[in-house]
This record gives sequence, structure tokens and C-alpha cells, in this order.
Amino acid sequence: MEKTILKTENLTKSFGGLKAVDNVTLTVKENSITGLIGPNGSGKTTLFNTISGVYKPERGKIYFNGERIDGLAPYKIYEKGLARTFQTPRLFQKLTVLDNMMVSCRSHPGDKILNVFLKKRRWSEEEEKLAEKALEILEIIELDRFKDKPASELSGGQMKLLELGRVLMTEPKMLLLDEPAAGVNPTLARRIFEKITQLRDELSLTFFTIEHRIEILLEHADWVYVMHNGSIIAESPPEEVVKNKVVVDVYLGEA
Amino acid sequence: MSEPLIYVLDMAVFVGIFAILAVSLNLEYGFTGLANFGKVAFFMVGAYTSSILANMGFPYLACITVATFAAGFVGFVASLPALKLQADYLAIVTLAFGEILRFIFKNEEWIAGGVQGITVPSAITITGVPIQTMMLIQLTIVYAALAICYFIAQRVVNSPYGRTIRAIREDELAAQVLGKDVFKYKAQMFTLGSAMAGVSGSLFSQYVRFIDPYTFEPILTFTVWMMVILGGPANNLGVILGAVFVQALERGARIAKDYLLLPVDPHNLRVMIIGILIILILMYRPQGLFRESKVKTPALEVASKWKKRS
Amino acid sequence: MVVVNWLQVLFNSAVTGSLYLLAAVGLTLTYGLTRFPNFAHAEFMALGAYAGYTIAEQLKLGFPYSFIAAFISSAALGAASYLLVFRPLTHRGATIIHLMVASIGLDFFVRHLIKQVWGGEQLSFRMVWPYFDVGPVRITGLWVALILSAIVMVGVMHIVLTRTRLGKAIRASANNPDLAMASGVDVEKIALVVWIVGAALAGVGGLFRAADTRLVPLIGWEILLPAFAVVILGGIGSFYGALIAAYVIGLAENFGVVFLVMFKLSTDYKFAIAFLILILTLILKPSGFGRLFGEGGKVV
Repeated sequence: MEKTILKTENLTKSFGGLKAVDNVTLTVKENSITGLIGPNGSGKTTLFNTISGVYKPERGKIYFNGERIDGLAPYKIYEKGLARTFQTPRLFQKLTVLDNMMVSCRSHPGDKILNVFLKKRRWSEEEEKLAEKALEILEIIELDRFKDKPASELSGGQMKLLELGRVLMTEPKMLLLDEPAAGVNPTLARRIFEKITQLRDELSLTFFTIEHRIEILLEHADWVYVMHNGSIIAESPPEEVVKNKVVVDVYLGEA
Repeated sequence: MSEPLIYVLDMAVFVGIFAILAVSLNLEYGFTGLANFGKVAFFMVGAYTSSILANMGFPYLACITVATFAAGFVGFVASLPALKLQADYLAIVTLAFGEILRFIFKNEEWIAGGVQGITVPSAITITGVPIQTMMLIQLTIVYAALAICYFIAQRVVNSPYGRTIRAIREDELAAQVLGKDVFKYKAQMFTLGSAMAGVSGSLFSQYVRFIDPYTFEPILTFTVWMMVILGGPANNLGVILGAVFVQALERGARIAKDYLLLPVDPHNLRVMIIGILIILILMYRPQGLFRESKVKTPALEVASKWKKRS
Repeated sequence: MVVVNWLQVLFNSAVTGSLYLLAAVGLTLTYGLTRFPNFAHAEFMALGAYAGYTIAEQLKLGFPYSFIAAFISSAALGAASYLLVFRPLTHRGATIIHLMVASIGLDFFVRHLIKQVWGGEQLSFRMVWPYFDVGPVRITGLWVALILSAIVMVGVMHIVLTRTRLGKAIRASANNPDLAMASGVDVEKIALVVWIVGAALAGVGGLFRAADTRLVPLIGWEILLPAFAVVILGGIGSFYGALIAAYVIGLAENFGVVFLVMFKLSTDYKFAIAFLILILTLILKPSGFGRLFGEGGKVV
């Protein structure tokens, strides 16, 4: 729990003069579940977009496993083992649930144009193994029944789960989850977080997750950052967040 | 042998040539989501390259091979700036590219005769055989090429690679954060699609034996688009049937003009029908006649066994 | 050595720019509002030109009437295009690629309908325009009428866009249709108005082009590329951006032609100049001039 896996230093990103992410410095410990909370528009998703390479930071540095990753293209950052989900699930709607999982396979030999023609046997074998793995993950997230359905036919909560399953296929070291439990019923939300904790323990993953359902997040997180107007205004173990006066004022007070 | 047979053979050759274009556009648009509005440009490169080489006395196999690579190369080069753009910009740029290329062939007489066009010597000369036999030989070559293109396209789309290009079509950003170098896939599909268009252009020039810049107007691109959207995007067999259907329709328009004595110019009638049909299909059956084909890989089999287990 | 009358080139640039402006205003606003490039815009220009031709040359009613005919006929085509083709398609959830392909289909249909009605051969206006020389610059009445039309259009549009509720709604909708809809603007009604006015202006542009050069069914298609260059350089959906871009491209084309002649290249390549500007804008600054006015440049 002591090693730092992700670190940002003075990270800044603005849009038309408005600083959406303002001088953010934070660290995420390996094998932790770190939470990120804050009111709407406080810059949480922008921070995730900047870390995952969707936006280029204006200023500041990002280290992942000790390596600079700021300014890299999203797919490069992914290659280093940092994967993410989106607030509104961005599934491949017309592809089946299984195909959504399979797309995410890391370095699949059949995902190269020449191998498609020249190494069919090799990628076919790999494909079978990966399909097994995909189905196992689907079983864990209880979506294996829907494997042949197009992703567009899933319910909102199922889409969230599939997106989580999809990034798990990528064998990441760390996951950025943007509101994994938004828009699902409380029971399912709890289950999602139980799964996250289970995955953290079983697969030694690190999670950095935005969540509005603070009560659930606080049950599972090891450390929590609070964001407001683009800045980190507090950080603490979960049980102390609710006692922090500044946090209560800007955030919990609102609710 | 009678005239109707020649007519049928002629139509069959055209169906084959256009089916290759439809399969190539399907790789780009149907599977990868690229709005290539300049398909005709790469067809044109293939046709002109092949014709110029044939005039220099090269054997046909050399003509069609070089034409394929030339069109693929031009496609690759054109894709470098174009594919960074969003769908609408890509459409404008590729459409303009085709028009400019056509303009260059029109203006620069030293390349291939400018507006006068260029006649293409037959690559296969067998003296003393009837026209029908010659057409059968042409037909065989065209369908052999179609079979190869179809095989290649099927192999590409029924693979993990084929899954990735469909994912890129569905959501580019999501594909990126899942580690896909989106630009690479798009450039590869654009290059492959352009190369196939080059094959088609070469076959076309060999068959019609005369090409000029007026052969390559944008309507050709959109005839192919109509085949794809009518047949069913992301279904290779569907778009080939789309090619059959659109060819039959075009011929039908010509016959209707001849026999019904419509007071309409046949060319105008043909284009007007294509225009209206494109709109009607998009309005009432945008998914086409055939549904998107599944990604057929060994994963499907693994999945079907899984069902029995649980 | 070629002797160049630079002042004439400058004046010609104003003529070309005014033409491109009339052609592109509707294109940029409909692009912003309905979010797809309408390739059938070319035929709004062509229909106006042919309708004007019929009035001026076949019925001999004079240019003012043909101006009105161009305006009205293209406006009607614009309304029909939106109401019968693009609005229903949007309601059915058509993708941007579907809309673009449909606009091409409409373009083909209208162009060949025109060809069927008026024939494919080249027509020309016989009308004689007075001309006069100001210093070294030759000016014809037609060019004056064209530039004045563009100025009047800009004046009216500026007042409408800044002073009226309709105009503010148009600007808001063309820049960000979702936001406008959320603020209670009836975006579809606004879109209809813009399609009508934009098409009418394009029709007038087509008429001027035809009266100045010649009339062929491809007349609109030939102006479409520079019109797109104006739209992209100006920033999609931006009226003021288009205003600047139209004259920038007018200048680039007219001065470019001089250089083409100097280097003994075919002047037919002048339309490649617009293409070059279009490509460079897309690569270097896809939002064009739009951001200067806090608008345009498409929300991604």
C-alpha cells in the first residue's frame, strides 16, 4: 500500500480562460481504492480526461509508475497500464457484449492487419483463450447471459458493468472510474463497489474513482480527495472526510 | 449466340467491377465508418495507370498490379492529412480531392490525352474468337478479382482486427482509450479500400477500352454509396447484392427510356432515380436490406459452448 | 513579361468575394444549425440562376425581376429540402454521414431535373451592362449590383442578427444547437428560416455568377468548393467569419490567378487555391475565424 503508482504535479487545464483543473497535485498509492469527490463542475472529469490523455495538460506533470505520461496519446497511456471508464458509458453499441469485451484485449496478435492473413492459426488460438477469459469476467459481472446481445440493448446499470468489464479485459494496473455507480439502483451500486474491492484484492489493481454516492464510496475507499473549482481542497482517510469543515461547507452542505 | 446474351454478359461484367468498388467502400464506410466521398479518385488512378501502362505495351498482369499499388499508394498519401479529420470534413476533402484529380487529368494532356481521353489496347488478344468468348474471358478475370477482394475483405472483418475497426466506427474515443491507435487502423483500411478501387479501375479500363475525365464524375462514387447503403453496410455479401440491384436498376432505366418512349433524357432519368432512391433508402431503410454481419472468429464457438455450461 | 493591373485584380477580388459570400452564408448557417454540410446547396445556386435566366432572357422582364425570381425559387427549394428531406431524416435519427449522402442524392436529383427542363447546353445572358472606368479599373454595372447586393445583405443580416430576437436565436442555434434548445429556442423553426434565407441568397449568388459568365447545370457545383472553403475558413456557423473568409478567398483566388499566369500554368487551377486554403485551415486551425467572434468552429 505504500508505493505510489500515480502522481500529478501542478496539473492545469483550462478552457477559454476558465481553469477547469487548477494546479492539481495528488498521489495515488498502489493497490488502493482512492476516491475523488466534489460538486458538479468542480473539474473531476476534466482531471480524468487530462490524466488519460484525452486532453493535453497545459502545465504540470503526470507520472505513472515513475514514468512521465503527460502529453501522450490516449492509446499510449493505455499501453502503460492505465485504463478508464466514462461517466456515460461509451460502449460500442452495435457490437455484441462479448465483442465489446474482446475489443479491449491487450496486444492481441489478430489485431494487426498482416497477422490477420499470415498468422491465422496463432491468433485463433489466442482468440479462444481470450474468449474464455472474457466470459469469465462477464460471469463475475453477471452479464454472461447477454453475451450475444448488442450492447445497445442493455440497461443503464448493465452498461456501466460492461464498461467496467471491458477495461478489466485490458489487464490494467490501474483504473480510472468515472462514476461507476451513477444511474443504477442502490443495491446494484453497492454490489459494483463490492466487485471493485474484490477485484482490487484478487487482481492487485489500483482504482481511482469519481463517485457521487459518497456514502458507498466511503465504505470502500482507502483515501479520498475533494475537488472544488478545479483545485484539490482536501484529502484524508474516508472516515475523516465527513468531519472536515471545508468539505462539509462546499460539498456535503449542498446535498 | 444472340444479342441478349451479350447484354447479360455486359451487365455481369459491370456488376463485377462495381461489386469490387462496393466491397472496398464497405471496408471504409461500412466497417470503419469513414465517409470516403472520393472513391472515384482511386478508381480513376487505377484506370489511368493501367491504361497508360497498357499503351506502353506492358502485359495485363503488370498493368493491374501496378494500378493496384498506385491507387493504394495515392490512398495512403491522401489519408495522411484527411483521416485526422472528422467525418464531415473527410467527406468534403475527399470529394474535392476526386474533382481536383479529375481536373488534372482533364487539363494535362501529356498524361493521358486530356479531354480527348485515351484508348486502351486489349491486353488479351486471341484472334478469331467470337465476341462472346472474349467477354467470357473478361468476365472470368473480373469475377476472379472480385473473389479475391471478397476473400480479403471477409478475412479482415472476421478477425480481431475487424472487430477493432467496427469499434472505431462506433466510438472513436472509446477505442482510443482502450489502446487502439485509431489513425493507423483508418489509414490501413483507407489504403486497402483504395487499392481495391484501383483493381476495379484497371478492370474497367480494360473492359471499356476507352477512358476520359468525364468517365470519373462524382456520380460514380455515389452509385457505389448507393450499393452499400442499399445492400447493407458492414455486410460484404449484402453490398455485392446491392451492386447487382443498382446495376439492374440503371439498365432498367435505360430500357424504360427505349421502350416506353419517355420524354426524358436517359442519363438525366438515371441520375434522378439514383438521387431519389438514395434519399428514400436513408429515410425508410437506413440499415439496408441485409443486416450487419457478425464478427466470425473462434470466440463465437467458445461462447456457444459457454451457454451449455451455465 | 505580363503587365498586371493590380488595382483591377483588387477590384475583381471584391467581386469574387461578394459572390462567395452570397453563396456561403446559407451554407455556413445551415451547417451550424443542422450540423452537416449540405452538398445540395450547390443546386440552390443553380436553380436561382436558371429561374433568373427564364425571367430575364426568355420572358424579357429585366434583371430586377430575375433577381426576385432567383430569390423566391431558391427559397422555395430551400424550404422543400429542409421540410421534405432533412428534417424527416433528422427525426429518424440519421447520422451525419447519412445526411451528407442524402444531400448528395438531392443535389443529383435537382441538378438533373434542371438539366431536363433547361437542357444541358451552355446558356448566356444577353443583357448588356453599362461599364465605366475609374482610373485603371474597369467596372461593370453587374459587378456594382453584385457588390451592392452583398453589402445590403450584410447590413440586413447584421441588424437582424444583433438587434432582433430571431437573429440572436439564429446565432445561438448555429453555434450550439443543444444549448439553444435547452434555453427554449425552437431550433427547428429557426432552422427552417435559415434554410429559406440561405437558399435564397445562394440563388441570387448563382444568378450573378451566371449573368457574369455563363449558365450551365454545373454552375452551382463549381462554386461549391470555394463556398466550403469560405465556410471552413470562416468557422462553421459563423456569419462574421464567413464575411471575412469570403473576401480573403476572393483575394487569394484573384491574386493566385495572376501567379498561375506568370508561371504559365492553366488558370483553371484557380479552384485548387480554395482547396488548398480549406485543407490548410482544417490542419492548422479547424475552428477558422469563428472564434474571433465567439462563435463557429463546431462543438465537438
